[in-house]
Amino acid sequence: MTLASALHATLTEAGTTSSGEAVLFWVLAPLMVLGALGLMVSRRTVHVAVAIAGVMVGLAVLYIAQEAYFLGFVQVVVYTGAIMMLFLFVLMLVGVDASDSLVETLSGQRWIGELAGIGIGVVLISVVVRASFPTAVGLDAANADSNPVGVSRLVFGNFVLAFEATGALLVTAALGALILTHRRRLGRKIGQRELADARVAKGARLTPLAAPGVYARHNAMDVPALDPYGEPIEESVSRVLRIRGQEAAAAAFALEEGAEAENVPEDQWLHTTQDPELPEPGNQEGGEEK
Amino acid sequence: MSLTNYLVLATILFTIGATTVLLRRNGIIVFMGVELMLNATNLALITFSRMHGNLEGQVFAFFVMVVAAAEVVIGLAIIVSIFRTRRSASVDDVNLLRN
Amino acid sequence: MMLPLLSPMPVADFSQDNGWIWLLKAVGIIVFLLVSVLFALWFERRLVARMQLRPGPNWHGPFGSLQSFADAGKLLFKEDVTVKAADKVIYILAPMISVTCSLLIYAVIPFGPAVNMFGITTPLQLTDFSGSVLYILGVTALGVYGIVLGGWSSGSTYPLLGAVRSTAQIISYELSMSLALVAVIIMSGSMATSSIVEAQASFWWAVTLFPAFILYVISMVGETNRLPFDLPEAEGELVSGFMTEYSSMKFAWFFLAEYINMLNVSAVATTLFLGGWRAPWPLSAINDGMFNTGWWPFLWFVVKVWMFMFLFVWIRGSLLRFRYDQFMKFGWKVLIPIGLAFVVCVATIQVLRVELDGLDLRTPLMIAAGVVLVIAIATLFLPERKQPAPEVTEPEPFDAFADGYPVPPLPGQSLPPSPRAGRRAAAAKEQGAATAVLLEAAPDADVDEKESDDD
Repeated sequence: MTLASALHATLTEAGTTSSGEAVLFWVLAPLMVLGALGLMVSRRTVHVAVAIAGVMVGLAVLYIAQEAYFLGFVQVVVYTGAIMMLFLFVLMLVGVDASDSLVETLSGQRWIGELAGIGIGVVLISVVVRASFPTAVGLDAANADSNPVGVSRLVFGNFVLAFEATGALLVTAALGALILTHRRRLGRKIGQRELADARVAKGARLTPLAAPGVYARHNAMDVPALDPYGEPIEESVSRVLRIRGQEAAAAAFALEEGAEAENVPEDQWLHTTQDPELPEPGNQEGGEEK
Repeated sequence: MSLTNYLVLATILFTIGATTVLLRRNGIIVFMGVELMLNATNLALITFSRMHGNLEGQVFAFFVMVVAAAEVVIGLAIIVSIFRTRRSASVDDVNLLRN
Repeated sequence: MMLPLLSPMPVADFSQDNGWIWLLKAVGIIVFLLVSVLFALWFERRLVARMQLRPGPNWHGPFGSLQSFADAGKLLFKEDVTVKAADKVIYILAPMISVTCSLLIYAVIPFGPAVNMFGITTPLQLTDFSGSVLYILGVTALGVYGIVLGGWSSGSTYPLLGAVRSTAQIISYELSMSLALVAVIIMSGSMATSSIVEAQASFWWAVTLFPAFILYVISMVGETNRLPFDLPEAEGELVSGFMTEYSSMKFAWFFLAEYINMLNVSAVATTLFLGGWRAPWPLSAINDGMFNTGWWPFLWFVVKVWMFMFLFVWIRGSLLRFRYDQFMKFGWKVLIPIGLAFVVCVATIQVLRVELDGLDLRTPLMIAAGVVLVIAIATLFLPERKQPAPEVTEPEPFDAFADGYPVPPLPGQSLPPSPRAGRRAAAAKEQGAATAVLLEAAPDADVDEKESDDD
């Protein structure tokens, strides 16, 4: 018994499904309806997307149970894999926290909408329930050469024109999306090299920022690192901490006024070989022209 | 279990999708409602295909999927470009032409 | 070389399987995967260490082989932090999606042909059906949700960036991956994995469909987020990308999924391109294909899978991470066009084969290959087209301070003469005179003079 044959069940003579399929249906259907309701209720857009992805996987399982193996897997690949993924991508692009505004712009829209929705539901369901369907035949004969082959015979046979047309449609859609989202660059593109040059010309910091106080004698995020001259580097503390005022005071870690590095007791040496002829640290930073 | 159950499920899903389109105002969620409606129709098509014993229903569902893919690509591109200019994904904010 | 057009139905015959055999195979697959992951952790660390000329883990057990157990234990007993800003449900759901999806792929991978298991003849494969390759693609597509949702639900910047990158990566690289698979499906005439292995009885698709094989190998590295395509979790840029905010067991789930995914894509590559469980050529000829029956094929399969695992580690040890725009350009402008063109070629050949039934395609293909070869060789002898002679411009004097900071001269440039050159010459002259005098007095001083000149 294969996975597929476990899922799919040939119809009985009377056109009803096997009991295995019925169990599958009654487990999945409520879950899917719940997931779909999430679409109406949920506030966070990502939750909605996840719920819909779940519904689509559920649909794929139902397709496979209904002897449409090809479409079942295409459903997963195309809908869950590509379309919902695209939705998630756009969600993250336009800001995931964009939530619905609760202000009603059209008065009474909510009530009218709900009424209309219930109306559609009642009409459709009553039509489906009251309609008389022929005795179900099942796809055993049509799927004799395996389902993908059966579908492809039709797609590339009777429906080949439609197939070509959808191909053209897809290409057009891809081009359209490119044009819609394309933005003309107003200036010249600034590349890595130009950025680096501009940085040097501005005299900005060239090296990565020093990590907070873990270099020398301290080991905490709120303590500034010390440069080779024993001066605290203020930027080494996270900007967030600085704005909140949670950093340890930098002054506490500075060398005392006039203290020469040579006079620092040996156990507090930060940098043992200090060349006295090197320029002052301020000049090296080069940030003073601004 | 008769195959009508599948059709009922399809109509319920379709209704939920349609109601979402009517009620929600976030463009992306509205769009997902449309997708749900398309999926519900696919389920109905596949059920009919099984009921009548030929694969044409499945072929229709296949084409619906392809067209849906094209539609999503364009729709999301429109949402992105609206968001770029108006910083909002709400369908209420797109009423510039009215005044 | 007329290959018989296979039926799209799977070749493997599962008719004798019962529930117990099913359960046994399923448990067997999970055990195989978990043991392989434990081994892979050690294997990768040792191998990368060797490539980087360091010992690697060598403390626990012989050759450090128990290191993986130590790591697993450490992960299990670490504090399980749940970030305050996280979206709880999805935060917990994400690693589960990852692991579940990664465990599903091996269900359709054939480990071997029919064997005798407790008196029941059954293929060494959990299941197979007429859409197995599509199943593989679908499950891979679902697995990405783990990464995307994990990154989003952490409620933190780096994971979100990792998640966005991951979606874009998957959307782009799955296309080229599926194109590579399409070529295989067209040639094999079936989407069932067992039939694809059957179709490779005479030639492996890695040989006949070489471009598709290369395409698949490149995309599979992208698919598993490994170097050089590990942008969703780039340590240097995004801390750990989507798993930054995960710790302890939840992190271990992601970790497990990542390694199982490596095994998955390796197994798919083996099955679709390297003949699956079939013995490599010289061995397959021994004793009328003895090595292609019974339990032997399991060995070949495992060896081939681990060849790919070795490749993964090798790539990791030698390549650098792509920049994001290079990565996207490579996917969309190189891989996908090549894939499309190749699929068109393969489809044309296959149609010719079917339409002109009975025609021996070997001769025309050989002729075509010969023509291509001749043209290729001929181009070597063609005189190169005269490039318009580059305008000889007076090389601008090299200004070392052009951008505001000193740069060394590039090859072909030379520093302008130092303003102190005149002084130096004068000094040399003076010293020369002095040495002449000195040399007469004491020839030993010569060496010292040379040294001071160099200063």
